[in-house]
Amino acid sequence: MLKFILKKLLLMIPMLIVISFIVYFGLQLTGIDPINSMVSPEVLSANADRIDELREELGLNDPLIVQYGRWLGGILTGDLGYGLDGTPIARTIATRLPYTLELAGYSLILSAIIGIGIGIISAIRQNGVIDYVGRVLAVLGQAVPQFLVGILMIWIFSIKLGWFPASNRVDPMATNAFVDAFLHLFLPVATLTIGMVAVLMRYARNTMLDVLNSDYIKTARSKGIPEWKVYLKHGFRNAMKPVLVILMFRIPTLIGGSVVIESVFSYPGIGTTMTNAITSNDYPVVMVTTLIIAATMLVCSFMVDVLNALLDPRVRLGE
Amino acid sequence: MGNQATVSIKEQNKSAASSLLKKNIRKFLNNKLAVLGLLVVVIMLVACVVGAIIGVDFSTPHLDQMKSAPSGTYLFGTDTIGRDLLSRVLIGGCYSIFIGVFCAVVSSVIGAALGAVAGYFGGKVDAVIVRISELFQAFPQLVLVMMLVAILNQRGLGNLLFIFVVTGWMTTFRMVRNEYMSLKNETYVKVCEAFGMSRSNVMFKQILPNVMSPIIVSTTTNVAYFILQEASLSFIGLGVQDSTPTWGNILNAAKSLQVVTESWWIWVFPGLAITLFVLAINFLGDGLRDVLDAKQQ
Amino acid sequence: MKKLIALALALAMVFTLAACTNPDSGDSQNPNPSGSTPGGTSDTLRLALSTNDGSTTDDKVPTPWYNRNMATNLMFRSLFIADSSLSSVSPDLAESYTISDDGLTYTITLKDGLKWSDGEALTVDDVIWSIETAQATAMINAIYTSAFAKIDTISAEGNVITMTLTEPYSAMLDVLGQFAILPKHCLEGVDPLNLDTNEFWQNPVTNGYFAMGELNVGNYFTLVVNPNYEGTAPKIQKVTVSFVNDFLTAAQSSSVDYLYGNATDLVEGMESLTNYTSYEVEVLFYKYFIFNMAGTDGKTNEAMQNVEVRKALIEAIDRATLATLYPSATVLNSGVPNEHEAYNGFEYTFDAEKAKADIQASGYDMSRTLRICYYNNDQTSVDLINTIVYYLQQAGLTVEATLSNDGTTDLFTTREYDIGFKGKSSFSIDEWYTEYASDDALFQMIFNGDTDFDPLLAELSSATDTASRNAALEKLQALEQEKVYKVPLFTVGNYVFMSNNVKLPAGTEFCNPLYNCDVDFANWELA
Repeated sequence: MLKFILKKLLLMIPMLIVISFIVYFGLQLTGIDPINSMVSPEVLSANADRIDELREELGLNDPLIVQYGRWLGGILTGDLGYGLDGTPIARTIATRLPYTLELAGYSLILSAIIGIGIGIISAIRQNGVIDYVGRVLAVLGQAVPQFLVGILMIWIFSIKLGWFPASNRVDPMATNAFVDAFLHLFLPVATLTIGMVAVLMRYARNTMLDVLNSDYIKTARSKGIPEWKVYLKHGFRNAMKPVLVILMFRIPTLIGGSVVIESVFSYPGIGTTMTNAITSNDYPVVMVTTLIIAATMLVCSFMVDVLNALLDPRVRLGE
Repeated sequence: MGNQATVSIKEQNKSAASSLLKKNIRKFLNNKLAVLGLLVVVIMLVACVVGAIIGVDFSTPHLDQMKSAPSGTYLFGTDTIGRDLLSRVLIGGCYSIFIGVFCAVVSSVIGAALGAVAGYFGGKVDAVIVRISELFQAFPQLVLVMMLVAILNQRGLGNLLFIFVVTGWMTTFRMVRNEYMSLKNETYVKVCEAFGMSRSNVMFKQILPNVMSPIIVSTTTNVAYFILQEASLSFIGLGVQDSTPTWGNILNAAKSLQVVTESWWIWVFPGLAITLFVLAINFLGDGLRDVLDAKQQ
Repeated sequence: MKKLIALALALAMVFTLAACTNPDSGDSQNPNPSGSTPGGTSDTLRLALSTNDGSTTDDKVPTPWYNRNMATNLMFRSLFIADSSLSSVSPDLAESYTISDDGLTYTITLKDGLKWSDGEALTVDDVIWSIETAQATAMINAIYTSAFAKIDTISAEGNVITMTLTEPYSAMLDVLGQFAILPKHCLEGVDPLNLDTNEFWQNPVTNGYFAMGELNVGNYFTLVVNPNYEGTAPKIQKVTVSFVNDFLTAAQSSSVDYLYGNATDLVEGMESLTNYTSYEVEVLFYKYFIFNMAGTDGKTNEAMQNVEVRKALIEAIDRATLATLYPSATVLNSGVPNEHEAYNGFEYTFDAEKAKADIQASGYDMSRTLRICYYNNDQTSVDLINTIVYYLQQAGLTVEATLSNDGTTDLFTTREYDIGFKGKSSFSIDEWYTEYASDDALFQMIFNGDTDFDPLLAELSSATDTASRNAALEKLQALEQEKVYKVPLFTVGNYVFMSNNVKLPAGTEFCNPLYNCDVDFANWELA
């Protein structure tokens, strides 16, 4: 098992390097000249010699592969470099990433609890009221574009009712950081959760139904074990394994979703940073955020593999 | 003699297949939601295509009638520059449904082909393809869109189609690969191989039909996924250029809260169109799964 | 696995706990969703900066050398301060000034005992350093570079700055009235090209009413009263400046006291809010087309060379109807507004049928795709472009409109377009015409460094009385209407909105919100 995990972990390194390579050279192909974004054309034509100096200073005259090597070396030694606006990228990441982790983390936990909870209840009380209502909501949550849900949330809850702020993460006049966090996170987390719950609920319901119809549950029941114990101990435990795998699988979707949701709620997370960097051609920032997202995705798929291997020894043997 | 036997087996197969088909259709018709889904999908599709064929006017601005509420002349009202929203939603449907269907089908074909090869051959080939799929899985779609827009210097429909296909084939791939890995050890495959049947024959003529059902189901639900994806990308300004009326682009007007509060028809109708279509596709997909899923038969 | 579930449950409980401690009352009449104590807003002025304007990012104070805004107006002062017309100034950091009769020598005396917010003395060195550095910096408004280019020598003795010009420049004082003086002792060693992104802007040293409080990256910064400000301290003691990407949403959720804009959505939306007062501001905000002709680097756009083609294209566009897309837009036919006394009376007329015929007759290759480039992505601009595309299509053309992420680069460096759509919040009419100068760094790249305008521009900038100024303007109009390099669509009226929380002193007049003028801030009060 240990060998399997190690092997998987080691494989992530070349993957990340390949991704960094593609991003680096892909962005070079776009022909975006960082100087154009750093210096306005007026100054550009007035200070031609200074621009050449700047170019030399930034190492933009070196061969691409040298630049790439220098950049990668920097990343490996913890130097993320500078965005085109001069801010150290490490600092940008250090302030933005926690915000996104907060947003995505709460959404993941909340959607897991609600999704799995409703899923199990509707499986146990199949065709009951909760089952029907839950299924309808789940299907709807999946079908309405997420950004529209977000905008409607702002309209209803921050403008009509005035319960929650419509943007940002911290209020300048907040007296209680905890309450402030709750107020600012509520709407974006709720929006992301609505989208996530749907899938988890359907999945949890189906696996729970499969488990409940299986022979060992029937045996357990026939042994006279109390009903709740049957559900909890035998049903829940067995149904949860595949659901956890699905949960991991949803993380990339969650990241994609949070990029859009951050933009709806002008939430200062890594998603907004990336969208802004993309639209302003700030490619050093694009490269680093890409790597971070790619690494997150790889870690998730690594966890899926490990979970799968833990749950199903055949996978390990197959490798 | 041998000939006769084959013929009769074939005929038997045929009649068996047709009775299975009948059974499946009956099963599908019993699933009311799925039938409803199919109906909605067909009606919307036909409406959009008819709209495009008779050439409804979706582009003429009437600046003297901007943001007018639904009325006899404009059933869905008009948008922010006075274009007829009904026509725009119809034409937008053609674009959005095309994006959804095209990307779902092409990515399924690619995913299935690679999955078949990887699952059937295993070993090095498998390892390489799996790595590639993980690479694409990890690569943020947004960055790809941005690079393509910057390289080609345009925000065309082609970009979007390409990127959706490139980043969308992995789920089908994983599924098909897993099926192949388990099916290749089945007796009937071993028998075919022992008879010296060519590998491509075994892969695509013998195993593939058994994997078709999950592929069809996942293709269906992917149509919905890509339609929603297009809308999201348009929202953050990385979709198709504004002059192309996709559902996502039409819905973009809802970015402005002023439009949300004062001119409900501008976002309700395109929003409803997306939601309804995606819902219908999902119901249809669920119904197909019930019918085709081997486990439940 | 059990641990994981336990952890999930624990976190869930924390979250529910947070839900229970929410004290917000949810008063729908006056929503205040900030988690602050009730009434916490009453002693604080809430400003907002839009991160959508392309020059503001949410991780620092924006440089006052590009656009001014209310927040930086409260932090940085200039030698002079303008009134709401922006064309008449009175001393601010300066004590007094004299201008020689030939208009070539400026003598400016600085006030005594000025100090920066960190306690350092503010001296003539700071002023000279600022003026000299501005010409080499990367993010700078063109009004400063074109004015300072006329400075021949600048020197100081004691408290007196003497400045000589190479030729008279009538707007020099007005420009100095906008130009913020920055602290030399903080920025001296910084490369001017990176000045606007220096760490200084995380915690700037100021010379205005307010000093920097705290910056919360991605969310806001706060201002506190500057203890070293020598004048009357303002009645408002605290200011917060939030980074938002939509002013209207911020206003609708009542989280901002002052905002401005010209887009239909914003103006209509604000008008329906009863707790804001709107002020129409007279600004010269031009919306106009530029034709990509040829650059001084030799890259020529053949299709647009024929002036008949350009004229026919404009003839196909109904500018009056387009103006209805904005809450208040006035069509104009040159850099000079129609109601201005110097307007020469020429009109670009709209005639769809004639345009069609004229384009055919001009020899334009109809199979070619006409490319439009624009860079504003707000709904009104997108609507405008879509309508223009429609008009041109009606004239039988194939048109493709591209939204540029980086307008300046695409319009003046990449130059893959025929017609560019631009907006310019102009300081004065002169600024519209200086774009025609053969040495204008940007426009020489699309107008091929045409020198025909130069003598007329010199005439305009050195004109000291109204008559000679109007004469110069009339000649410039005739020339620009003959050349058809730039075609104005209209000027767009701007609005300032002030929440009723703020009580303004009588007679307060606002100016173009991207510039600075005296709004008597010291007497603003919070209700």
